[in-house]
Amino acid sequence: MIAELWRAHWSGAAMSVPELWDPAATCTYSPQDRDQILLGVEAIERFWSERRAAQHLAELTFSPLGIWAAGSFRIEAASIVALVGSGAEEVAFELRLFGAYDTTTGKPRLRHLAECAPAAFLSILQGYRNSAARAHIS
Amino acid sequence: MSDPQQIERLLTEYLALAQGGRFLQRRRFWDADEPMPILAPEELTQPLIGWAAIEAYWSATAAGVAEFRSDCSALTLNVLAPDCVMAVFRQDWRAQMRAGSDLGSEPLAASVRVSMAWRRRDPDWRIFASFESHLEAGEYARSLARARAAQIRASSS
Repeated sequence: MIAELWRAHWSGAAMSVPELWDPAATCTYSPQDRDQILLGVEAIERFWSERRAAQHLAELTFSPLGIWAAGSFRIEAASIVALVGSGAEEVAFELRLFGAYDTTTGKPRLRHLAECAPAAFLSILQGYRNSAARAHIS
Repeated sequence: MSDPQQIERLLTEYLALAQGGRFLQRRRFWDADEPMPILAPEELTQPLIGWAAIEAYWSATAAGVAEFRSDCSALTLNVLAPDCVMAVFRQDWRAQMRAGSDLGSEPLAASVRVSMAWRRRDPDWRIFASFESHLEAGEYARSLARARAAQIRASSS
């Protein structure tokens, strides 16, 4: 579910950001490309508006890592691989999503979502290792 | 002491255990009854699931780090239920690895965003899941370049 909720943010007009978040409570969102945590639905909506203007989601695959219940809330973690397009370029991100959503109304409403990227220097090292492995295979 | 004050106090104590490499002592801040605790450190590409994996990680970290210090700021407590809170904060850490480490022995420092889930276990609160996030690699490289540019501008003015 958490990956589906994340995917829904990319669809723009089809489902607006405020529909995905709990409007009556503190909402926190931690995007992978900001060093600050966004507070409130307005800030989250603004962020997604900018992200969608610059990028589009081409493909998404995900696998669940865990789910926990707390009253009407579900806390959930998943690994995702997203193929994101920006102009003529496509890049792939491997992330963990960790978030919490309310299920009271039957329509999940996010209260927290974090895009968890590993440390950059390790990502770069991993990229070199992948390139080396591909070169070795070919 | 209110619930937010209590969680903030516990979080401060938890992070302070990095000093002196007392990472294994962090276990007592976690919910011992949680069957599937999960910890996602920023430096690992896969999260750690289960006590054995988490404790092995804490042991390895303690063995590899000569000095470690971390501070928490911009803490927001997102109350999900009377017995469940998501603590969201920024963590700034500084470390020095032991000689022979793959990461070298020069000081290292970084900032991460942390999402840490707590549940009430009277009389206290306990962690059951924690995720750390570094800046995405491309944005991180740009932030270093911006900082370098600002440094050059400052030194030339």
